[in-house]
Amino acid sequence: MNSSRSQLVAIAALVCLFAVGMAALLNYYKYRSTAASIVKSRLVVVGRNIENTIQAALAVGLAFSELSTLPAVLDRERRADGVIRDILVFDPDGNVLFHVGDDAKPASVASDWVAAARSAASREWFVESRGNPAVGVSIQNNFGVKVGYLAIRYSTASMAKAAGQVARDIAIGALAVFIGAAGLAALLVAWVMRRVEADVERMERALSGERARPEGDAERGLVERSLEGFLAKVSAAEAQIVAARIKLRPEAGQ
Amino acid sequence: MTHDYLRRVYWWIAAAMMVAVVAGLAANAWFSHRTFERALMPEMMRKAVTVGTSVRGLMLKAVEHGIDFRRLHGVDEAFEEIRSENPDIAYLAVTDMQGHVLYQRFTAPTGIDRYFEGNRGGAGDASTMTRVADQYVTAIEIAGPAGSLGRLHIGIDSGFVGDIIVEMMLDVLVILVVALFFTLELLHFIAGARLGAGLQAIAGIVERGGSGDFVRVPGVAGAGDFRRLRRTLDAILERVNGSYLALARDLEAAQSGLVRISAAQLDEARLACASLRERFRFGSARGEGAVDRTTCERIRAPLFAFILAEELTRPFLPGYAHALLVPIPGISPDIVVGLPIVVFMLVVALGQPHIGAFVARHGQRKALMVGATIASLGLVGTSFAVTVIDLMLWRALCAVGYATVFVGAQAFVLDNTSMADRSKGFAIFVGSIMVATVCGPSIGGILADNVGPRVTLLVAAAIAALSILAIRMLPRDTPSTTEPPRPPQLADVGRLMLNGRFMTLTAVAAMPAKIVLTGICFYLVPLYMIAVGSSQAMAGRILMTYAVVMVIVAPIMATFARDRATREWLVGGGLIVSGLGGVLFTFDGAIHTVFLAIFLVGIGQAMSITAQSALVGEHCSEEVARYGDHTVYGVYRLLERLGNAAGPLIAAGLLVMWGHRQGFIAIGALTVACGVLFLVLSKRRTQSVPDLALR
Repeated sequence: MNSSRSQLVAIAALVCLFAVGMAALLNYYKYRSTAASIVKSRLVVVGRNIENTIQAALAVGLAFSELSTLPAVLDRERRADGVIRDILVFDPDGNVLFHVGDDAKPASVASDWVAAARSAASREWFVESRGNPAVGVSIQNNFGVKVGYLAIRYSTASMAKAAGQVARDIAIGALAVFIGAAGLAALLVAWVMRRVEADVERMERALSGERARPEGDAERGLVERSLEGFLAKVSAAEAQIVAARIKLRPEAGQ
Repeated sequence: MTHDYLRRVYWWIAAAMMVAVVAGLAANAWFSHRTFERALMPEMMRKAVTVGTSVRGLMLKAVEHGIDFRRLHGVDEAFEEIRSENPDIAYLAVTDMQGHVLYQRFTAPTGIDRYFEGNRGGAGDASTMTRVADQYVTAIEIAGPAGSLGRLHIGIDSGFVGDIIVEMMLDVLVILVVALFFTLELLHFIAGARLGAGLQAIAGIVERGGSGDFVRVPGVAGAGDFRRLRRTLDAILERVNGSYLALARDLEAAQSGLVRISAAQLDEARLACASLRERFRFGSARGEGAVDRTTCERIRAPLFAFILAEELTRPFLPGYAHALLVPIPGISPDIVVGLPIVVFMLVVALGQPHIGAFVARHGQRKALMVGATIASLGLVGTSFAVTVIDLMLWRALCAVGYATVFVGAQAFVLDNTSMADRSKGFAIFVGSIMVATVCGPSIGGILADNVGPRVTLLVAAAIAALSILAIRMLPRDTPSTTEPPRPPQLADVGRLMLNGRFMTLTAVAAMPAKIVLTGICFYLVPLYMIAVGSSQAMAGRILMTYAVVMVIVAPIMATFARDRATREWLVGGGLIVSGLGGVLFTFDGAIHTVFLAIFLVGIGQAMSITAQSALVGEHCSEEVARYGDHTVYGVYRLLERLGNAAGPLIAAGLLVMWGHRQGFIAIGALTVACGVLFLVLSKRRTQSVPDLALR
């Protein structure tokens, strides 16, 4: 019985580990996706600010190449937010028109950027290339025609660091919750098993002749009624055997 | 007594564990809330500051044009626009240097006036957030060339973290359901063997003894729980049998004249003994009780783990195939996406009849280990697949492993059950598979959404490998010395395919039932979820609905299927109900419709699955008599499984022609039509029997 109880406690621990572990995993990934979407939406706001500046210039009839103040605007926005690595403005063919950032100005952007920008259902688009994530905004002229795209490439280092901290917090919390839940499960299982043991002990007492009357709830009664039937048959058989043996004694007939 | 009592004990234990799991999940949610708030609020604040900087720029531009900072126009409209683009922002306000509100929009948190009083002046610390009632408020300075003008305050609803936790509730609910099934499965496997063996032994003695049977069963006091009670009971039996033995010896002594008693006494004693033998049974069973009834239960864990591994892939496999698409000349990409499922089902269908011979030759344990190893390798390969072409090859390998384990487990059940408890054995087999189908897709979907399909496939491979450990714990068996049953030959298939009765059941009922299952559940649902912008986790939840319905409804329907008169109605009705699931898409294509559709498919499958098999013997009794039941059932199963393979192909064809929703509708309508046709044809057949008899 003890081994069954320890097995049940092990099952309880396993089930709690699964449930709490899966929930912790979900929490971690939910945090990551939420934090990433907040950063993206923040960078979209930055992108829209720049786009407004560009649109204002285009509205007064300036061409892209004539936006001489744009690099300063881009640089100011880049410096205002620590996660921004580069800001690029490129034409629909992917040729880079303006660029601010630590690296040298590239001649063109990666093809997946152009594809993502072109296929975006809304004005914003995202590229999740490994180690090279970028948020983009389409730039439209007064007639609603896409004349180019703005891309903000950002660093995920700070997000990764924050995610690492959250992972640690979640892991510690999950461990504490797991220990608590497994402990509670062990206690509850022990309580259930105590009830089963009590039923068994009552049967043992009944067999040892202490008491054979049903008591307790219907199920216990059912257990003991079965036992009563068994004991009644045993008594009947033994009585019949004794009676038959008495008949076989030499003095019985005299 | 035992079954009810044991079941009650299991439910009590499961309930105790669920209480702990629910408490754990609740504590986890509370803890997550705190962690999220602490970690996400600074990110939200940075976003608020960025938004605020944009608003401040607009205001300063107006001030630069000479407009009085206190009389700016269009501020409310600007705030409205910001809110429409950033719904997390709950409140926006601008105060002057004295902390008086100049502009504000949306819901001001209670106590904001006190906050403004305490935050007078221009320079604000945008890096801090202050909790004001149910909002976090941050402020940024509005400073022009002439100096500071005031502050812009941005409030973020603190409930946004709560909303994230609520969003996760569906997944947590899935975890809870899976944990419940997982608990019951583990109870049956680990604790059930001991508890069950112990209680069964006690109940066996008590129930047999209660009916006057005192025959002692060897090994009854051995393995399992409640050993002391079982020994006590066994001692009572030993005592009764000892008394009877003494009586028999006394009688023998009297009959041989060793003891002198009168003839009348002897006759009386003989009569008493005869009466005893009539009323009671004495002695010891030789070997018959030594059969370990719990051996069959031991297949449960390895089978569950193995099927779980395969089921994990269900919600994301079509999407995964879509991501690995390469152009195949002459074949539409939508059809290519379905090919990995088709290949898997085809290999299982064609392989199973032949794998029986392999299992018979090498033994079940070895076959199970080989199958699980092959499938593990297949899943590892699937996870590293480069294109859809090699994906198909890896899936074929998985299918070989799957078919081997399936046939091996079936053979194990057959070998470890007597005719009397065979249905119980197969209930363990089917139950194990069904529980895996409840747990697998939902967990697979969650994992695929979070860690990606490739890692999820590696997890599946690890679980399949883990099943090998459980298989190693199975008792060693010796390969069968008898000739394994002959797989159905092409001639058998041809002969039976020309048979109207057989084909009514197979082509009009069994195959459409499988087509609707694999076409809708395994192919269309995962792809439709991607198409409507939902997640793989949602596809997993939907597929879990199917399995939960099957687990609950199938046993109920199986009791109805015992009645011969209802079997045809169950099969035909099941097809119609399944088909109506697809037809539902004529109304709309919302997620709740998909749930309802899969619910109906589950009900329909549960209705027809048991009745269908029973009808094979009933409708095709002449064919069974002519070709043997093994051949008839073999061909029936083969064609049914070919229906599994055809499902995704048909669904893909319909998808190419008409799109997702119409694909659902077309398969549904086809299935409804098959259900009606089956009922008409089978009713005509039953009506024609009395007519023939009258002639």
